[in-house]
Amino acid sequence: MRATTPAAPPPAPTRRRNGMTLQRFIAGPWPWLVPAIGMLALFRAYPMAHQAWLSLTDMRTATIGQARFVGLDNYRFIFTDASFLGSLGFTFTFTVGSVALSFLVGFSLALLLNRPLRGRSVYRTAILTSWVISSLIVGYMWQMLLNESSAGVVNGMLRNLGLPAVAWFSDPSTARISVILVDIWRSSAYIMVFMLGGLQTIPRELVEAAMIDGASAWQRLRHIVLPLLSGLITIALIFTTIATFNVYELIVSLTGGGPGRATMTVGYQMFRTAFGGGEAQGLGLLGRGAAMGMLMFVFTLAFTVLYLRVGFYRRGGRA
Amino acid sequence: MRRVTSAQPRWQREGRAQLRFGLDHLLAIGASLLFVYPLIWLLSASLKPAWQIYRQPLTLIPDGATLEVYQRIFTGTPFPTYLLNSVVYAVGGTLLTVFVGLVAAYGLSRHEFRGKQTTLLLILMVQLMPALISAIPVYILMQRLDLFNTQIGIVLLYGAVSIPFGVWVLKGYLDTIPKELDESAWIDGAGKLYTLWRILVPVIVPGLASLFIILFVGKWNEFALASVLLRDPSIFPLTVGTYMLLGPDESDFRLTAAASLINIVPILLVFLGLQRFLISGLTAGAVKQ
Repeated sequence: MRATTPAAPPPAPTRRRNGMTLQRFIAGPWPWLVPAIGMLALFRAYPMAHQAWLSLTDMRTATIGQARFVGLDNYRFIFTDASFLGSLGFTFTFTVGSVALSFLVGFSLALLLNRPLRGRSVYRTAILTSWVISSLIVGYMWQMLLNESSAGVVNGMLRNLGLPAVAWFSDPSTARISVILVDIWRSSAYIMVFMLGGLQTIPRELVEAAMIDGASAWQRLRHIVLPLLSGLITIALIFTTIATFNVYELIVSLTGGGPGRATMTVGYQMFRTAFGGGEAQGLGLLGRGAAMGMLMFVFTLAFTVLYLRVGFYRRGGRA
Repeated sequence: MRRVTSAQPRWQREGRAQLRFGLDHLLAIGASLLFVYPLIWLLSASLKPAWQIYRQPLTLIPDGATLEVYQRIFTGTPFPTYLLNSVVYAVGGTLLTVFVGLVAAYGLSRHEFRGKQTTLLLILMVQLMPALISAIPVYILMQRLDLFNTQIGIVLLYGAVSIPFGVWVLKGYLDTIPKELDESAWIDGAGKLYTLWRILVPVIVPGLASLFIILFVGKWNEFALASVLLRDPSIFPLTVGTYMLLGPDESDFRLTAAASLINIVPILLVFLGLQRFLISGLTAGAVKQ
């Protein structure tokens, strides 16, 4: 790269050896990267940085551009606000519950479909349909299926089995569980496909050799499959955790945060605070919403760093 | 530890294998039903005459199906416009990401330079950050750029947010193609852009297709940002239009079911059509270097 072609004119003596000339710039990678970096800077990086500043102001939807600096007031408010702390608490419960169980369900489905099963691509397609439906619609759908009126089909099935109907949405603790269950339905298909991809990279001979040695199914899973997939599992868990922690759309249509405030999440609170959503006292508080956004950012960043440590650097060795 | 299987009598082994086989299918069918039944139920609820929704016992097969509620949606609400808008946003945003991402992926795949690892790392970090987190600053940005409440604004934003994913996936595919293939072409005098378009793109068509469907699904289903950035019902996508129609707690099951299905069916068809390209792409973000 440093070797100049004989035909090229000798560089001016004052120029640094690695100085960027226009030609070299054009021949290099940067012209290819400019559109992507430009768009990312404008629509992704700048807003993220701007949010940090916004969270320190009292900006409202009515006062864009003329905000007052209020220091940490927004953070002080949200961290002493029982309603927000409740949402934060539920968001953590929701994340842990949903990610753990989605993984369990998704991985079990992957193990099942990794077996020599005729028609397994049909099964895979059937399960994966849940992945193409938007969270908003998933919420509407399950709001009807779990409805507590006599039209609710799940309670109808329970009645047919002689079981009592469940207060899926009217009881606060049950509503929290319902939201987690619906989210499991929504996200386990992705985990299934992800892990199925991993399972299929495991050489069959390896598992068969263990079988001949008398290893039980559980032992093969525990000592061969899981260690081989540990990197991929971590990545799947982190991806899912990030998406789950920032949940918003599912809540909008499934419970609207209710009953009371039982199923509100940080994301839902952020949108309500900044863009109304029915409650007059929350209308248009962009600054305070930005503080909630920052919280989501920090959490996601922590998980991103974790991902990079596991997924990005360690990968070189594993290929 | 259990003893080696071959120590068991043959009939027992075969019986066990058959049982296992049957059990696998039973489980797989059960799981599939769990995921497909809600959709069948949606169809049933949307076709039932109103009086059957609450009739006991609940039945899946409507007693005399009617398209009345679909008619109501398509003639009484702007759903046809919403549908068209969703197509524009999903196709426009996806194509923008694919083009910008492809060009950037070429730059990264075919050049070695100082700061390459850092660039890749930064792109990856942006990829992992859901766009929804910065809804508030994006709302302000779009107002300042005069892109608030515009279709072009949504296409630009949708195009921008998935560029990192696009770059990662396409760089992964380009890296698998030997450099000699395109180098020989541009040494012969072809421009690099021409090389990319005529020589590399045809080879990575499966990759482009898998990227296309993943992005398309995401953009078709997007609700959070569009709901904040659009005010004019004539430019709402389906998701926002559906929310405007149903609100947080619509109690008309037929209307909700039909509106939901109108959201689902187009994307389901795209999914079923391009499915074979999908699987590799879904894991690409994590598995590709």
